[in-house]
Amino acid sequence: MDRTPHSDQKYIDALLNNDAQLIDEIYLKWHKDVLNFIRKNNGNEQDADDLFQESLMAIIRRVRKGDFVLTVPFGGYFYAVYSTQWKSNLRENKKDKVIKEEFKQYIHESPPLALETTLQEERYQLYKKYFEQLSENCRQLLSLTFQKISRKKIMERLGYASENSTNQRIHRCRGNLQELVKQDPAYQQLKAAINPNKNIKT
Amino acid sequence: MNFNYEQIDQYIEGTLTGEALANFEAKLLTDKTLAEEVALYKDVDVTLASAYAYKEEDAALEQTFNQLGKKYFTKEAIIQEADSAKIKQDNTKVIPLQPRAKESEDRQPSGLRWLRPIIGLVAAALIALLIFQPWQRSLIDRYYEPFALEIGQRSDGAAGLKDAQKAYNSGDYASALPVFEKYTGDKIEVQIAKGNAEYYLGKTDAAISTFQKIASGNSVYTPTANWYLAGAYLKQNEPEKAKAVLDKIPEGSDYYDLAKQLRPEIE
Repeated sequence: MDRTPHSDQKYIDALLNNDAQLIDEIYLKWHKDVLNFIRKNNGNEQDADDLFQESLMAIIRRVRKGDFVLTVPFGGYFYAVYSTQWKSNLRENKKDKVIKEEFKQYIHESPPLALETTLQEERYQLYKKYFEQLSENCRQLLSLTFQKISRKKIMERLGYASENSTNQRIHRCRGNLQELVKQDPAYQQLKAAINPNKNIKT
Repeated sequence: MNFNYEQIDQYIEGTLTGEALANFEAKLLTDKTLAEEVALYKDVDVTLASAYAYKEEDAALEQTFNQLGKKYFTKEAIIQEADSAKIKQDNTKVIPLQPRAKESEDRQPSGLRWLRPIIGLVAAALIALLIFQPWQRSLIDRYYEPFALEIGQRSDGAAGLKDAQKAYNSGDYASALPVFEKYTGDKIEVQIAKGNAEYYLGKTDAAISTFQKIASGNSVYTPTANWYLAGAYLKQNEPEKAKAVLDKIPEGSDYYDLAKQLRPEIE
């Protein structure tokens, strides 16, 4: 498979570096497409603004995960991401009935990279939602572990008696988070994207 | 099912060793639920860790996006852009007016020259019509003007109300709305402005709820609330509800004549 970066990779780099001038170019080039798409699918200017921003954030989160090369024009990839993202938003709002047939077909045919980007974003939103529902203490503990702070430092910072009790609390909080995520119906749909064979050491 | 998260954590961190590691790996091959639990644990780690690692970068990016959103997606920006495009399109049409005018002048009887200024005025009116295309504007856009907020010099209620008023009257609804939402004073006009801000920010459900609360009362602003409520219903494509609230606007109200004009057009 050809992994030569497309010249539009510059837009990806612009997002990574918060290059306001090139990001302005992204808005200038594609804001009308997003607006027209949204208007055809029951949305307004504010929805278009939100969708534009959410889709760029989804792309940047996917890029940061690594192993990402833009081999196709940015416009096509962006379209695939925002249209899939909008479908996902409508599903969450239980407004599926307003989706046009053409749109449904498009989702079915979404390019793999765009679909992967959106599925990852959905997982991020799902985890974030339940992380925010944890107790303040759990959020504090887990945010430190996500920042790869050593258990010893977490123990000292939060004033726990021992590393062992710190670990116990972390594992209890992680367990709570896992259970909350699993009880959400969206997890059942997203589960296939978290391929156990890919994630487990062999 | 309860899992041993300590063991899962050690496995992922690479600190599970020896017989314990061998047993765990053997179990992973046969226990599908454990394999899924480990995969989820790892995915949550990678996904949320990345979000924490780039917290500051994300905040900076969102700031850039918010600025550009205001530049490209506000109603005003979109209208302005459409108008510029229309003018540009009109300007690119090459119409050889001069030679034809000369030609017709040669042929015209001198007695019809007085018609030229009138023709000029008609042409100007036609161009203006082409630019603004009032027949293409939706019914709601033609009637719906934002409520002008004037709360006077004395500031009460939420902090920053004066600034919010200024932002609101200049069309910056996103900055004004959070202040209006916190407002606990008794000025109903602030609530009307809040409904307008919600309306223009696309939060039509919230706008309807705001206007309904005012319309259900018996203040001097009840007809105003019914007028804007009708606009919000029209935006949601609910003409019957719009007509019902327009019918409640009494004669003598500032909105009575407008309501009377709008109502038959809803049909």
